[in-house]
Amino acid sequence: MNPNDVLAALPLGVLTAVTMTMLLLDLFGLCTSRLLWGLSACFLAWVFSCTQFYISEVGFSGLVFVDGYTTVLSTLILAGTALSLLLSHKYLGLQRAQTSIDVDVLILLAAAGGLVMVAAAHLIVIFIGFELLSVCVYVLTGIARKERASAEGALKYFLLGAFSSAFLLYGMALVYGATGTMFIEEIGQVGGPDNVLLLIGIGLLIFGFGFKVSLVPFHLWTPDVYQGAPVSVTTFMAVVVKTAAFGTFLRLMYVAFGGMTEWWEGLIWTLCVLTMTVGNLAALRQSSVKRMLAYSSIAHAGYALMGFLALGPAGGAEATVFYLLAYGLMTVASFGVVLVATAGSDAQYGNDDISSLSGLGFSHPFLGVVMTVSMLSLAGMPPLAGFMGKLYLFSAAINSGFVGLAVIAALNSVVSLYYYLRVLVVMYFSGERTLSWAPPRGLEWAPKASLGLVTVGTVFFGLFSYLCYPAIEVAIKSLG
Amino acid sequence: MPIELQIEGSRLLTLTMLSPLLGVLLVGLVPATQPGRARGAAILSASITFLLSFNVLSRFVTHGRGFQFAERVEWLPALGIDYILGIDGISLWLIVLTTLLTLLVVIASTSIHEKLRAYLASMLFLEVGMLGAFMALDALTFYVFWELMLVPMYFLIGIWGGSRRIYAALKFFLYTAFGSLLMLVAIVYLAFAHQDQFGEVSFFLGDWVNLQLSVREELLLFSAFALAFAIKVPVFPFHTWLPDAHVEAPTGGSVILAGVLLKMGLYGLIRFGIPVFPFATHAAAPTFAVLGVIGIVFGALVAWMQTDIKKLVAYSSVSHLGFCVLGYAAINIQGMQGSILQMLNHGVSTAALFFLVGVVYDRKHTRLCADYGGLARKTPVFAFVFLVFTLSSVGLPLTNGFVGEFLILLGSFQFSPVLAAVAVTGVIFGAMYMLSLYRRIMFGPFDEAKNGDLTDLTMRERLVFAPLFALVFVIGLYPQFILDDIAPPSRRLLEHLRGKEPAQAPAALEDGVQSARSVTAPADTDTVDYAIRVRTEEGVQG
Repeated sequence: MNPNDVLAALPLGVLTAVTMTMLLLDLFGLCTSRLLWGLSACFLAWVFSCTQFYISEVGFSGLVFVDGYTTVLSTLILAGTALSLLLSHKYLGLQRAQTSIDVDVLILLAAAGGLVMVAAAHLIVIFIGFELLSVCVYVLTGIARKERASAEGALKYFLLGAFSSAFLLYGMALVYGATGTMFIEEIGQVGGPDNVLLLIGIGLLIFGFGFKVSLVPFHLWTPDVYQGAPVSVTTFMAVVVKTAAFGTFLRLMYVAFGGMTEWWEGLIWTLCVLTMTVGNLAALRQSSVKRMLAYSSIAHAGYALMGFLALGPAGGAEATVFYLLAYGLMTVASFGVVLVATAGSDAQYGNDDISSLSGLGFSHPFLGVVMTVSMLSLAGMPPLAGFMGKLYLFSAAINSGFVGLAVIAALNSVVSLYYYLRVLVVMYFSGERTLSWAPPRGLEWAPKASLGLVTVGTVFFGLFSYLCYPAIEVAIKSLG
Repeated sequence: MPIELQIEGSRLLTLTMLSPLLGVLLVGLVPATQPGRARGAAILSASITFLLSFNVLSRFVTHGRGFQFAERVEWLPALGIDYILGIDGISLWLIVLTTLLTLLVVIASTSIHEKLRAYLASMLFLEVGMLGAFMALDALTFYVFWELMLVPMYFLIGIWGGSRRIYAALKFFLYTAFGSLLMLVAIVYLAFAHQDQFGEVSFFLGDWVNLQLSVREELLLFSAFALAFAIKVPVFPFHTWLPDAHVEAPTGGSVILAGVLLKMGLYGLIRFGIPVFPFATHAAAPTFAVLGVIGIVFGALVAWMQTDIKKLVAYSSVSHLGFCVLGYAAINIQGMQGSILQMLNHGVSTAALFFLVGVVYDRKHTRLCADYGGLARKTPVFAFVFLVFTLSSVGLPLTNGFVGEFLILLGSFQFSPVLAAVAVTGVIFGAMYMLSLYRRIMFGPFDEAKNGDLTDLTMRERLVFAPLFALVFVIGLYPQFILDDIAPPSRRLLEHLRGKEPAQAPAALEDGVQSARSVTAPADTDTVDYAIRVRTEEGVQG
């Protein structure tokens, strides 16, 4: 084992080791504070992943990358996991879901899958991480076993997820057939655009990832699954699964196919425009908060995809990674408020009408502020993180000549304003709260900490994005 | 037109701009059960901001070069975005107007009974946005403040507004955001155009002045900016959000909306449009002039038909801003100075009119003219104050409204006598609708049963009107102290525009544009000073 192997294995090893220990301890009834265990697992894994930051090499005979990009994406994944754990702590019971230790273990293992994906330097390793992540999340979606919506969501997610895995595998097989290698760096060196097999392979890979990050037209599962799953799982899905899939997708396109952008640019451009437009227009028509947020997350995948069109010196890859950070912060905030506001009520499965938030702004000022900041950031209002993310993306797109795309994205933002503002209308403008039940006034410290952190983060990374941007630049530089 | 920054280490502008945040903090600390104390804290904070802006005013050098009290700090190096502030004579007075009106609005917040702390905090937060937008010289900094203003205003209309507040708030937000997001794309485009031509990304206005844009580029980019600004002004036909927003907003919201926010659009056209797009400014001038005149006449006619006092004042704003747009489009010193002065005048008189509407609305909860009548006998002080601001709004000589409108007409006459002639009818219509409003409310039979309990202005309300009252006559009699500050930057802008008429632009621009612009006015700077002096002297003697 050379030192790089150790560096590559440590974060993953620590994470899984702690998770397994939890399982083992629980067997004897000794795992008393699951939250603490989970958080320390994330923290330790993050500390170890930081050791890779300034390196730019490979480990395990070239199967995984040991580089800054892995560190940055791992940070996002682990932070998202920790925030989801904090948020769902104590709430799973209220969501009529399984409350045993499986939930925490599945979440941590899914995060481990995410870590494998973003570090992967080989197509099969990508697939292994992808499956580890997916299988855990299928189970998590159906964790509220007695709820029809949850079971339906899980089944739908599983069936369509299986499709996406098939696309991915088929794409990998074709790429292998065309280039004779599965190491993504080598694909980048061998592959040429004259190879039809390779082009079909790339197309299928894009479709496969398109399912996972819910690009239109592969998004059909998203609203049902997001709505059906317990909100704490939805949060995890929207943040961690999307970040991991996007991070891997970006690395793949950058490293393996970055040299032949003109061959897939058109496809990505089309998917990008379709995704943001369909996502935003569909979100307009939703009366359920969760479905609205689901479509909004589809639209945001469209924005983040803009960066793929401006890889290289234009700064598109950096912009996409920053957008993932911003998106994660605001998504935890918005789903978190929905979680806290609906937990324990009938509103959480199926009939989570937007009116379930009515008057929340004044009855629960803290939740009101969190939701307001999150909605304004999602809508791209300065000086919040969502705005900075869009600014970086617009800049990258315009810098590489996609002015039309930037205009389409800007018009989409106007459309999205309508449904984000509607949430504020419901929370603040529609008078006092009239519903029979209300979320408890005093929040648990854990969700409060989680929501407080992301809200501060949304403002902070909006104003001071220059503090984290150099790290992202280092990460992208390590891609080569 | 090189844009010079007179960098000063004092950070006076940042301090002034951020000082309302102190008030937000203080208001937040006061318990909800003590509204009086919350208001006191807000008044204290707004007074501090006003004094700070007064300090800026007193230290401002009238004939100083470039932008004074400038600050420049690197903000987002990855994109070449700096935080740049600086003011010239144009922004100076708008800033003072902003701090004054905010102070008055906060003092007059006694009519707000629910969620007072949130109201005061929104108002102070709004002030930060407005001040920042008037101070920013970096396009992205400007954009940030520009959008920042939307959110508190949205809440002000949506929470404390009238019955259709939700519709009005959304319409206000969406209209403005629609324009500004396209402007954002144009801003980023310009920054990268600077990179193409000079090697580094820049959002600084002073760098953009040197850009060489093709005609097509310039027209497209200018359209994106102009759309955002035209919606904000609002120029006819983009004005439809304004009556809704005004009518539904609480009194304080209407005052700020009319007094300051409506100035943003024209300010943007002057601050960014002229330096960066000189050719396009010339090319679009006829269009703006025609739209301005349509706005004048249309706004006046619609105002005439209104039965709701607030709606009437709102449409009168459309008409008055039409004058400002006409003055801007005339592209000569009289028009420019008149336009900027009229922005300030409109801020004074229309803000006061909205305050006055608020006074009766607070007492009787109706804004229909038909519900009032004969108030002159019952509430003489109110009637007198109303009369003064009515006359100021109409533009009677001796009041501030006259100076601005006169200058604009003077400027636009050189530009196009026909348009000026049509615009003059707007003055006449203005007198008709305002005086008929006054007649309907103040004279006629007094309904003792309905309005018998109406009381006259309280001391607090008199205090609010006092400074505006004074300004009406001070500006009316001696506008020179403001015009002196406005003149140097206006001359610089016109200097920049000179020689960039469409005739000198590449051929593509000439079609259809040049014919519209028949008279090219020589920007004779002395005429205006002379004209003003003559008018002032006449005023004094008369």
